[in-house]
Amino acid sequence: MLDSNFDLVIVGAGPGGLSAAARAGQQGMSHVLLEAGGAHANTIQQYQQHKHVMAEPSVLPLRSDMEFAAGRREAILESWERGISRAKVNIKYHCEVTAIRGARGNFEMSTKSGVSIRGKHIILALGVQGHPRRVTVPGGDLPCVQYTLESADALRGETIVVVGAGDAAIENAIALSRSNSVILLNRNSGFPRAKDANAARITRAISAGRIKCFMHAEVRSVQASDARANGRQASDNSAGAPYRMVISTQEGERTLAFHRVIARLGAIPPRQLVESIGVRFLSSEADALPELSSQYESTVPGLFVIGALAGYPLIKQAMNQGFEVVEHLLGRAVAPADHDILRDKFRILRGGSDVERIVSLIHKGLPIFRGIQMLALRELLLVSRVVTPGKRSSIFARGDYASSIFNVLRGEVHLEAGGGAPMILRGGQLLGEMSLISGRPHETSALAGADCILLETPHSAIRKLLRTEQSVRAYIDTVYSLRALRLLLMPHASPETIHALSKAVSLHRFAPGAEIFKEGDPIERFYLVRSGSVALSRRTGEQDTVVAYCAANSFLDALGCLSGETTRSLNAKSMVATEALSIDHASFKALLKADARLAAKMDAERTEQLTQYAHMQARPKAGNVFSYLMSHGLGEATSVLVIDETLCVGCDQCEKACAATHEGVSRLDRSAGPSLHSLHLPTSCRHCEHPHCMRDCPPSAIHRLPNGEVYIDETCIGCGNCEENCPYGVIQMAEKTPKTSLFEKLMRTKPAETVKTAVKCDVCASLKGGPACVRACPTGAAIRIHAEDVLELARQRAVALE
Amino acid sequence: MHQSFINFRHYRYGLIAGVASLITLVTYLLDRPRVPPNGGTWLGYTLGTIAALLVIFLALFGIRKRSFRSTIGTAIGWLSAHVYLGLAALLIATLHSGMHFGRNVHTVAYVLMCLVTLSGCWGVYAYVSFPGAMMQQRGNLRRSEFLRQIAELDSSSLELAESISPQMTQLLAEGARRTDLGGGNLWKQLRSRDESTLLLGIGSAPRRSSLVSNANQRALIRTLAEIRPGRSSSEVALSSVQKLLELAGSKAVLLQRLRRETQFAALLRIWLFLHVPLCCALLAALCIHVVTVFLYW
Amino acid sequence: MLICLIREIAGSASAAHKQTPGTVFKTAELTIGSAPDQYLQVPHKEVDPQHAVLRMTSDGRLLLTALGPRGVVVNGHRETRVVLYPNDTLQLGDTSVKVEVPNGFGNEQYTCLLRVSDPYAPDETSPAAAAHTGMRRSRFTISFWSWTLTLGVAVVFLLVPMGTFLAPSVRKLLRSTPLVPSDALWSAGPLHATHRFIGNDCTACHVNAFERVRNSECEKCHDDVQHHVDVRSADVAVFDRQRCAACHFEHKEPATLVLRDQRLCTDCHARLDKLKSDPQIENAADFGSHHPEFRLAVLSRDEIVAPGQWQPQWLDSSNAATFKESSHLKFSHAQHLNPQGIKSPKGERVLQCGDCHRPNSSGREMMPIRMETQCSGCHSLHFDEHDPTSGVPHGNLQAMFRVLREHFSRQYLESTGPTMRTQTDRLRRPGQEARQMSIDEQRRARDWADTESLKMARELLEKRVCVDCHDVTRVLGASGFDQWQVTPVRLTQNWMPRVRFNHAAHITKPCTSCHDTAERSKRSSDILMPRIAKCRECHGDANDTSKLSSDCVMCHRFHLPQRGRFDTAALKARASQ
Repeated sequence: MLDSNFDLVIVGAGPGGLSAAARAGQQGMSHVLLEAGGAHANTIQQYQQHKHVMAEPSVLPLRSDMEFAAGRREAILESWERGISRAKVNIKYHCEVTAIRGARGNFEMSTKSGVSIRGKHIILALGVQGHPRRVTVPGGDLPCVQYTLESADALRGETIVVVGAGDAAIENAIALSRSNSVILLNRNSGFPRAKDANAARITRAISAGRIKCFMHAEVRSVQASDARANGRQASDNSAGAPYRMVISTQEGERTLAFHRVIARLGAIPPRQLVESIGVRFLSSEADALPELSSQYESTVPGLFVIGALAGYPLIKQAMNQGFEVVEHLLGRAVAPADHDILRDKFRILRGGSDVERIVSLIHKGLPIFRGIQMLALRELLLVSRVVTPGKRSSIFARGDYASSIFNVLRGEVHLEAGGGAPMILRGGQLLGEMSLISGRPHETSALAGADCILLETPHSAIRKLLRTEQSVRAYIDTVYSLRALRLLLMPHASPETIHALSKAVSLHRFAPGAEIFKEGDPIERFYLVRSGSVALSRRTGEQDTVVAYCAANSFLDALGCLSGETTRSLNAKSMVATEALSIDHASFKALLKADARLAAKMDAERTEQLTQYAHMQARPKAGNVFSYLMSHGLGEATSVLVIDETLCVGCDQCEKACAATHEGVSRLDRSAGPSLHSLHLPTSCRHCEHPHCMRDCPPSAIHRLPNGEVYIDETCIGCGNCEENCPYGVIQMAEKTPKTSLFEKLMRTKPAETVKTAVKCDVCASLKGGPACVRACPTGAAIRIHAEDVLELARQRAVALE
Repeated sequence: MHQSFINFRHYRYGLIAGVASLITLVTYLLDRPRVPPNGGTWLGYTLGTIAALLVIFLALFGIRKRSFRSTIGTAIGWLSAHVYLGLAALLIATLHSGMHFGRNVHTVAYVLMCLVTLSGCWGVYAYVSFPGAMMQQRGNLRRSEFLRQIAELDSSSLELAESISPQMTQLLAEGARRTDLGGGNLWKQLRSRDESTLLLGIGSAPRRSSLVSNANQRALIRTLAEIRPGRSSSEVALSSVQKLLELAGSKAVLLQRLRRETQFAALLRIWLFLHVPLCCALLAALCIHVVTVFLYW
Repeated sequence: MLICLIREIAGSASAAHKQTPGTVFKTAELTIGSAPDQYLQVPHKEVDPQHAVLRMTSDGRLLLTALGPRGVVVNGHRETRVVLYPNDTLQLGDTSVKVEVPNGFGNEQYTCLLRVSDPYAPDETSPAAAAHTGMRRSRFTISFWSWTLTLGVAVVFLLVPMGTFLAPSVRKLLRSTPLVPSDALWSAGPLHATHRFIGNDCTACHVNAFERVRNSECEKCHDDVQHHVDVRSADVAVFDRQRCAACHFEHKEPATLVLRDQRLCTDCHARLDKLKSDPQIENAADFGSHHPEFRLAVLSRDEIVAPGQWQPQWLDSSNAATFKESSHLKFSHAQHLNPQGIKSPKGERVLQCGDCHRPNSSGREMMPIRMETQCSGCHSLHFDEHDPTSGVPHGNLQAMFRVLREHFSRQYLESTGPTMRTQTDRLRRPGQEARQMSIDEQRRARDWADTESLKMARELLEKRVCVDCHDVTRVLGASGFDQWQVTPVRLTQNWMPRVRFNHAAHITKPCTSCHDTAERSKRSSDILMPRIAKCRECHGDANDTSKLSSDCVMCHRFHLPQRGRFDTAALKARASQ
């Protein structure tokens, strides 16, 4: 085949690649668009039928020669199809790039099919979905081997082999087993990669015989069946099945006859390919982003990275980037698409029209951002806000739940804790980090000083940064330990003392259920819980009795550390993922000796804890209840629905209320969920302190209100990440039918298309008077409690049980 | 933290209703009307108006219960008020009547009110005592858990049966299919009788199929117990039969608990079939009472 | 008929099952439904408990009959009765049943072979489907019962009785037919016995809807009811808006036709001075505490205003000077009631009140005192102790004189008197021939008799008998028998004409417990009627529990005699002016 040479080679015909190619085609640039699959926009092609595709972020203008607006998957794909031909896009399908060599002006790409392609510039628009891991055994390319399942209902009466042990494989297997006989091949013995619920379901189905499962099994070969000719009868009802495969199990090889293989083996991330060219990434973590210039140029000159791989998972962003890169290559100065938006944001600043200058001022002026890339900063600024609170006006109040952190751009902010003089923060310092880390309400109140200008950044954006940026993490950790020591331990001490002390502080992270220390351990460290929660228990007889519960910003076993004992008398176990600061015990004791006020403070703390221990130890049952509640995530709950079954009459008013106030879909399932000692935890959001669901929401549609409620706004794109991430299974993907007016109903216009979005309890954020479920409970069985109330609830329940 | 509708806000509505009843009673006893006490005296009209307004308020609970967006109090507060003020309303209505009863619509309204209150009292009793009793009998298992366990027992049985014979498989499959879980209409739920059936003689040529009652899995257990070694089953199959018997036994126990649970749930609902319709009838009778009293003044 | 069912079990991988005979029935009909007692049970919400039945017709064909309104779906078509042929497929919810050619397994020959294939394993669907608590599917929901009862109440107690408004014939039919609801159901209570004759004809009194019963309806029967005040007086305006029903309540239990509550009276009478009314009538609020002293209607004769006529005159006991009866009778109660006794013809006798004062037949009042019955036992009118037959009549002076003259004339003729013996003429002795008196003799005799009579009359009138009790006066200038005059006695019979007092009700008490002054009273002018304080010893306020509670109606009445008709029309006319 002829080696071709192009000005521009675009890899990946996703939205970004298509947009870039369309621009290039429109401008008559010699280009080629290489697509590994057989169609453009593979990921969108794989969406379910009629899925509504969002166009987020809505503030960002679209810059592309391709059309794109929110709508049905089919409509979008069709418009792109038209766009491809209109813009004369030179697209090559089934052309998977396996390696890239060379440098700017002379890149060479080899493809799987053996063709090599030359290009002066490369745009990588690969996406992160990558390619499904394929069955690479002989016969793996037979048409009977599928990597997706469009509709389980379409298949009936077949024998289907599902390969894989992840969620996708399990869900497919269970769906198929209703009307097909399913064989599951698992490379391992259990289902560690799957969600708990899925693992439980598949285990049940296997033990009930609905699904046959081979553990430690791998496919050896696949071939069309000549079973009769071969003379070897398959062992079961798949007689006459058109294919056979040989698998290896621990017991040896076996032959299976089947109709179809569904292989769900996960995907190969494209990072390897990118890195192999020499593109540097920001960190070694799996989801880290490549280092990019403001023109999306990677550390390899002439090689541009756009789209999800560059950290922009949204369609519109990717399309804009494709356009911008091509414009850049054509030698036109392109202001980033966010330029106008940022200019609007900065309008209230002096000289705000010079966006670039302000951005770089912020970059230099705020130590937290000093270590991050300009591009990432711009993205951050896009979701941030510049606020100018009036003098003495409240920025946040003690007890509010935080949803953003603030950086002081100018002026000063007074941070007031319970006692002592207010802490004064000036330009460059940040506030709100304690809440960010603990997930709990603010411990302080912040008041604006004169001429104060702040940059307000939502938690979700900062969290994203915390994951990728070591420097930000380190900075916030330092600030946190300084502030925590001062606020929680020694409000009276001088900054110097605190600073000196902070050097001795170390940070510990504990996985859920990890043992922090146990009875009999020597007391080495004095812990301050930074986030998460810890249960303290004591062994009485045969069992552990929970005696206390330490939430974020509380001291762990102050009693032990003060008692003069050398060994622990309690077990400490983290209930959820927990972080703690610690000072080694010797220096803590020295500190106590030196600081009489601290000693008095700790003495009061000690009395408090001792009283609590005594109460709890007298009621071992309370400990049981407590552990039960904790094991279901109440340790990190802000507002969780607890039903007292001795009061619940099963009228389902709570569910009806939920459905009535949420477009007819109940977000809670009363009868589902665990119960113990008549305390029932229905499947309903716990509004975690560190919401798991917020961790990976592409449009940042999940927010936390000042009162701690976690809600999903209308920008949800229905990706289902939150559903996956929620350990309590309280998020559902629901079809939302937009409300039709009476007129429309009368005119019988065709029903508006349904959109699948994530729904979960929003504590009825839009409703006055609080959650409808609690207000609708006629017997008082349903209440909502906070993590801090768990101990009291457990105690009361124990009293009721006795 | 949990508050029942009985002691909601430290018996707030109980106190209100009690004080209101006391005031009414004292007023009634102190009142010296020119005619013997009846609905037509000044106090009679007042008490009648109060009682009628109370009845309307009590009936509004039915609407408030369904208006989930309403912010007028909470459902528990409304129920608490409903219960206590309902009792007070009966007293006030009794005093309003001056204890004059006869064969007329006025007495019908009063009798309806008594019945509504009576059924309401049963409802209060049910709401207070049954959830606890249900808890006692079902432990920490939920209804779905019962169903799941039964389904699991069924599938384990089927799996075992498949290893024995196709006939056995069909027997157990039919048995599982024909299991009565206590559902059905309200009467069936209340009666809680096991109407499971079993098809006997499946697939074995000389005997014809017959449908027998399988209450408490007795027929199944008997059929399984009748299987003799050596005739049609091997050594391995016999141990399987033993296991099937165990499974059938556990299923019988689960079924019984599930039925009891269903029965309780029905008991929690049945009284509403009296309370609500009677309440509607009361509202109608009340309107007629008011109109006719003034129609023939 | 022999039917073989082959049930394919989803999820069980054993293909061998498909080839073995399944359930075999020898039955005339194969029942199909979701209930567990059906031969072919398909638990699905689209399958009725008794869904269909499969029969073998006489000519050997399979007839499927649907039992419910949904019918059966055979080969995709909805049917109610259909003949099945091999390869027909019957769809039951998610389950499909295929008719196959029976080719027999083993030794058996089947008439019919049905292959049943369920998409779900039995352990998966049956629990959820069978545990479905299907109250919602039943027609007898809460709202069904609510509507039924509500409408039932409305029909029975409102709509049907309202038929009485339609036409007289319907009204009559409804009211007269037993067990049919009529407007009698709206009655607040039974009628008083005296009104019961009205029956259940509500409109007899309740003429206009939503209007209270008018007086005119009462007056249809009670046409001569008297007013409380004189209809000619101005006070009558006070009663212009008075409804009969204000005091006469119906339909109330216990049946009280006349309300006794004294507030009905005291509403006015407690402040009567403020209403335009007779100033003589004082305020009265309650008998025990706020009631004026009794005023007695004592008969007296005002010679100036009405000479010779006795009129009751209201005397107030508080004015001792005028509180006297002038009955012109001389009588000392003290003397008569002397506990030592009083002289009588039969010796010393102790008199009781009741010896003279006897109640009349009703027992309410005392009979009038009459000389002839009550006094003459002791007070004999004999004037000649030698002649037991001698006696003058009571009450008529002329008659008395006649009797006296008669008496003395006879005495003369019999010549028994000493004065007569001095005369020369002798009278005829028995057996002797009568002697004709001479004219002179006759005149002498008449003169004698007159003189003697006059003498005796003077003695009786002025000294001995009449004067004991009566006022005897001499007429100036008159002589002979005309010179005396006895003032007539008029005893007050009805002391309290506006009050209903019943002596019989007080019979348990001795007379003197109320009339306690009687034993000391020496003059007949003393009024022995008890004063209010006496009554109050026993009678208290209407709500006094320590005494006999006494309301107004115990003694007084509203409708007083001689006041004129209580005429609503007239009242209305006045009120509207």
